[in-house]
Amino acid sequence: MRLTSNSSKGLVGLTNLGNTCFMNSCLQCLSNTVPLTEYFLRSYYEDEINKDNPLGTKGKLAKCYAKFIKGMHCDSDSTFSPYNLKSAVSTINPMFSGYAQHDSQEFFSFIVDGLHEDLNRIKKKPYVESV
Amino acid sequence: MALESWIAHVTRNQSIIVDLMTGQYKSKVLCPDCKFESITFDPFITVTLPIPQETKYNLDYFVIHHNFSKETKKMSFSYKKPSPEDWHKKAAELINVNPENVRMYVLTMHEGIYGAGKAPMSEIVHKI
Repeated sequence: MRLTSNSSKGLVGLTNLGNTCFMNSCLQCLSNTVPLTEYFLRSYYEDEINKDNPLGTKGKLAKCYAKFIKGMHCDSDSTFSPYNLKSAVSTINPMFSGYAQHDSQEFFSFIVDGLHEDLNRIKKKPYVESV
Repeated sequence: MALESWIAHVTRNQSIIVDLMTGQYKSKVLCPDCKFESITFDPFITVTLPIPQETKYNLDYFVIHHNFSKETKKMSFSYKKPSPEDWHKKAAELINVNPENVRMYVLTMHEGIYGAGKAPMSEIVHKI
């Protein structure tokens, strides 16, 4: 699966599940970050999932995000529902459960940090003295 | 030192996110007493940026012709900079009169009346 070979190129609307515009706007930004999206579309993430990182979600978030990106870029519909990602996010961080308004930047930090810990290539973090 | 801090970060953190969107802040703190300067480096994923805001002022003004030779008109314009000199020029421009022949008075709540424009009132009286 290549980003460039897809006719729609991820120009897909996201369904508002009820006050989820904070999440959708952030996901649109991330989905249009080409190197990151290619990384997920080409399934490179599979080899880098860190199941032991106590700070991560044992790959749950990364897998769910990958499914979301693939759905957004490979389905032929003009809209895509981020429902599955929303439920996963809600269980990982209960702050985002329900359908209240949230801060987009806070969501961004959460998802990017979550992906980072899930995909951290350092399996055992060595102790590093502060500089 | 920046490199040392970065190496400390990447020995514990390496992922697509670090590859693509992680940077490093430098912060400097100077002790006002002993003048000791502390420099630290911190990794970040997001940066906060200020959004410059353009403030616009709306100005209402009355055009009163000398000897009331023409009807008094209320006019208004919006302007970015709150400078009386600029208002004066703009106000004159809008009524198509040479700024030298326009005397502007600004009424303020607390500071009384002040004027702008080169020509004093007596001169305008003679010119018109």
